[in-house]
Amino acid sequence: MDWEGETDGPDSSTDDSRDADLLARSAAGDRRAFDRIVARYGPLALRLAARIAPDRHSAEDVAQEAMVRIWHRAGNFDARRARFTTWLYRIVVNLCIDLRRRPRPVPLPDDFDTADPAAGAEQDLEQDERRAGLARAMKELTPGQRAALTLVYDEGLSGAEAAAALGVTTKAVERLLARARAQLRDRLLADRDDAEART
Amino acid sequence: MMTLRRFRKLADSYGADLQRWPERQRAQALALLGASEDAQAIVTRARELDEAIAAAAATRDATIWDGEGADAPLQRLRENVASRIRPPSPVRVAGLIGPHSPAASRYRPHRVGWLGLATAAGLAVAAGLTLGIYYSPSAAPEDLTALLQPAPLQMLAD
Repeated sequence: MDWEGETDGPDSSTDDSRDADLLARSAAGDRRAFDRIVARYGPLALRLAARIAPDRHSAEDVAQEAMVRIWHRAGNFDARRARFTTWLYRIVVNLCIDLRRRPRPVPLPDDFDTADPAAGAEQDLEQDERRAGLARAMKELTPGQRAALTLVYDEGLSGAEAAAALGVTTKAVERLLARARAQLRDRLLADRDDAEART
Repeated sequence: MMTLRRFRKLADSYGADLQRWPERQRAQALALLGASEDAQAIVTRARELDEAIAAAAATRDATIWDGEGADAPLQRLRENVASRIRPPSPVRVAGLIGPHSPAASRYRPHRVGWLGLATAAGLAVAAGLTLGIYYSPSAAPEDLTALLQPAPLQMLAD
């Protein structure tokens, strides 16, 4: 595993040592210590999984499985080699990518059970539709592309940190980001053309 | 000096916010941005896409939990994880948790495991004894008597 490019800010050292302590206690069988890990990093795992996984139920499954894996491997964690969050990112991303290999139920159509728009709100609706269209386009990206976008754009990781979390090179992260943005740009332009054609 | 081609590639990946760009190339990118109208146009286009992506991401985030909020999924996560994890060693658990504590009941499967092992061993011994009593060959007592006869004096003399 390549952990190069890992950067620890001065404020993170206390958190890191606390994480290491909680993980060491977890590895010794302390379930309360591990519950603190889950309470602290559960929101991050859920948020990350929800942005990469195809639906909320898969996201909850992924977050749960990630935490159980961390419990079983807590003794293997080495705080000198990596930050806990990088490890967590990697486990969650890998589980999300694995989801693609499993059969999934057919999702409901996007317009299923939507409320009727209020009169006079056509402009807002059009803007909402455009945003929703791009949000759907984000779902159509590959899990790797979604993971790269989420880690760099939403979580604020550098290219090198995202590369460490994804287990790829920084160049590969840049390619994933570039392809994702190109696909979203195409979608955005197509939606604009459609909107102009309607008016 | 950074080339415009490299500048465009970085903008295509990281968008308009130079804080996301690789730190080592940021200074050169800033210098090119100040000097080149083409670089400025690239950043303007990238910013437009950044804003659209951010708006779409906000829409997606607002609907992720179907209006439930993030607290309920976290609570479910904690409960589900707690029900799935077990201490790694039953021996250590027996030493750490008292017999009458509420937590001890959750580890009953380990304790039942040891009890079951001891019961199985006892049954195996009992079955062995029963088989030995009822299925011994009838000639055995005679052979045993022969073995217990005193040795002939001639043999001792040898």
